[in-house]
Amino acid sequence: MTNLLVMKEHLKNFYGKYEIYITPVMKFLLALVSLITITKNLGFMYRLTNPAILLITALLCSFLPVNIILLFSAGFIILHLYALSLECAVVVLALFLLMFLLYFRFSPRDAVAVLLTPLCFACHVPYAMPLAMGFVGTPLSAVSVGCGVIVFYVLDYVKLNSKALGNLETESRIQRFQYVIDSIMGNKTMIVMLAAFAVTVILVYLVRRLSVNYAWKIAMVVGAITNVMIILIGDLMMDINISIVKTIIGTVLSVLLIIVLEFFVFSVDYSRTEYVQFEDDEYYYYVKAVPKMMVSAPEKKVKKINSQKKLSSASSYHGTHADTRARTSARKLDDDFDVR
Amino acid sequence: MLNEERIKLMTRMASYEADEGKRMIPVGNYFRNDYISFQVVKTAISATIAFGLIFAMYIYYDFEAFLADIYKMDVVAFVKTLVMLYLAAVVAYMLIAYILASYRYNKAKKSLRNYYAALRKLSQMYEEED
Repeated sequence: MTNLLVMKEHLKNFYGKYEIYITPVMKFLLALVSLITITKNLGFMYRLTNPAILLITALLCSFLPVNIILLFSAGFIILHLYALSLECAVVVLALFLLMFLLYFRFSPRDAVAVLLTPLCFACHVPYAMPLAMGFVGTPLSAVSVGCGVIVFYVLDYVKLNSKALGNLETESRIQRFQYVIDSIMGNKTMIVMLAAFAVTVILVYLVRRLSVNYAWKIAMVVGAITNVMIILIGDLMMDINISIVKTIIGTVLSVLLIIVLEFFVFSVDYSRTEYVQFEDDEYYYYVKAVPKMMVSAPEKKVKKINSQKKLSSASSYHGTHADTRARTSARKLDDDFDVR
Repeated sequence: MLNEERIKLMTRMASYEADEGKRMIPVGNYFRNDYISFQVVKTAISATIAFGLIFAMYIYYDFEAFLADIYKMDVVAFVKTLVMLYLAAVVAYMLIAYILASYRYNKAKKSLRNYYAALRKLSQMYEEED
């Protein structure tokens, strides 16, 4: 445990010192992983599968705000789908537009969850997402995670049915459109996952804010169990084939991942070196502000005072208010006695 | 002459401007009613576009049936229902936007209180120097 704590401090110092390089690298990696996952699963447009294009786009994302990664990913998805079938591209474009117009315009900071949820699905730890958003987000994050679930299942459906979707040339455009919409709306697994994730986010948020000891740990366990339970009940009610073993293993892995994240990310204040610039009438200032590392508070000593012993050895006590009061009242009693 | 106190204050302010202030200062530049009305109007526009999009998809989904029915159906009743649905959706969204905008405005004003105090202190420092 001590080694882990030391490592945490090292990480904190390292981030504080090199934040200016670490953030763009993280953004670059996130963009690259997202684009590679999209290309690997939906690489229908041959030209966009060129690694140079992916690298250049990821590099561009590293200097731009995080939400731009989302924009580029959405653009790549639509172009790939367009190469497969126009109807698919139109439906997914409409879906993205609705998500933007109805939700992400209000809460742009949550938008990254839409990108991370499908990535977690791809890494087989989807249950980490509702737990994580319950810890760092608000109850409204349930909508972001829900949007992520919809995006994943829509793309998964396209991936699994790409041959059928590509060979619908004989049918009319309207029939193809109906086929795509019906398949997306009738996906029961998606509905069960949506319900499970939304409830988990809200529950984790509510429990972690309770003023009880170990609220975070309780929230994690309650969230994980609720998630599994809702998926199992949904599985029985909707008659779908969700693997119970896979769900339980995925949940355990997700909980482990969240424990690691909680230790190194959520509960750490990564105050960082800041570079600011400003000017007044006489000078230009380029200031590097380095945060002072907090010194940990000295351990508190708890002294147990036995009330029976206190009377017999009052003279040996020093320092506390209670003792001072006891000695003062004892002296007062003596004074009273003298007067009498 | 470099004034160390002033540089410290300006650094703190610049740091705020680059981080939290980036979102808060533009909100603080509005009057309360102006900010809320602007947000509500923006929401009404996006809700209208979203409603149009959903309606277009709904019609296109069953386009043949819609074309077959259009001569038989009561167009006035259909338009009436459509307008009612549109109004219900847009008003609900505008209400959410109103609540959210009021909450964000109050939060921004609270966050900017220290910043404005620092600005006053800075101008006082300049006056003292002059």
